[in-house]
Amino acid sequence: MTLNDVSAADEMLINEVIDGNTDSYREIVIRYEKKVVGIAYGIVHNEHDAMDIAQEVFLKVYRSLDKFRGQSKFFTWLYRITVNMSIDFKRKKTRKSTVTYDGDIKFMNEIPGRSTSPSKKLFIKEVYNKLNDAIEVLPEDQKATLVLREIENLSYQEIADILKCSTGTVMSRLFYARKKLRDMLKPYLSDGF
Amino acid sequence: MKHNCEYFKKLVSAKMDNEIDANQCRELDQHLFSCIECKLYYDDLRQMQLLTKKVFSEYKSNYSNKSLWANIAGQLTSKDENIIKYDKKRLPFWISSVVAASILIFGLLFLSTNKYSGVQNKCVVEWVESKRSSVMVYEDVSTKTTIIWMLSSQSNTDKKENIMKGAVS
Repeated sequence: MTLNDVSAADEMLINEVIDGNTDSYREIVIRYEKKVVGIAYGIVHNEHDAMDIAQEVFLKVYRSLDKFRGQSKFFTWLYRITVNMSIDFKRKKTRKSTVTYDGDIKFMNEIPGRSTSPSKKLFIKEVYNKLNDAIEVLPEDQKATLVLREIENLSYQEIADILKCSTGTVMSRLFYARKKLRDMLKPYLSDGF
Repeated sequence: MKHNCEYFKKLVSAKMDNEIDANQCRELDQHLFSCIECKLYYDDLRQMQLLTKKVFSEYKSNYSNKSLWANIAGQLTSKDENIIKYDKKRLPFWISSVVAASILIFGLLFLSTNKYSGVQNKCVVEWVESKRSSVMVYEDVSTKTTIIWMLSSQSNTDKKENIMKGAVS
């Protein structure tokens, strides 16, 4: 299904919701909930907060559907609301949320040709936590850009539409975000992950 | 134009995302062939991107399978549904404007007509003249009184004017 097909399907569902069919909105929620939670989690770094934000996003979208004029794709509008609400939530939250992953990281089993010895697993967990900490301290605009690029694989133009900036700004933010992450993870990268 | 390493490091980042054109790609490859620092930067970024993508994929996979819909549906009130339905049924702005303007114009016309006819309804005056005399019929519609004046020809003109003025006021 191409992006245009997705866009057309979304528009059809939105029209049905505006006509009073609440079940169509259920379809929209199911279609986008994982993506919205993923983006929110990437910014706020807390699962429960991400779920709360996602709920608020979908409620706000439902109440504002009449204002959606179709000038942009639906997901562009949805992701913009998600990013803005996540950033607002993060600003209001005074206590620092830390993420320390103690369980098994799923992708450890996906690395081809790598042994998963206990020391290796420990190393990977340490890198995982270090990367999470590094992402956490990125400026909001760089973090939002990185999240949209790495989670949703959106193009620079799509990210620019969501964040209402130029593609040059997107490129610049990604460059500086990756530069910072690389500087913080340099010792681990040289060990050969 | 000769670029510095900062420029090529930005190209490295964009190349990770397949966002550079063929010319820029060629230019970057030529630079990486000769610059060790940028080559190391390129290798580090490739490794880090792999790790970052894996980390972010964990975010999505950690998400509970329980759908948000159950919570959202419970918070949608009938007021929210009526907002959608009301907005759908609401007339377009231009139709509402035309209707409002029409009501205003007709209202003003109605009021002005009533005021004018109110004076005339107060009395009806009819003047009949002959060679020797004139007859003025004064009929007050509100009191249903009819007065007939017989006037001599000499003072007809003055009296006519005075009577007409008095009748209208």
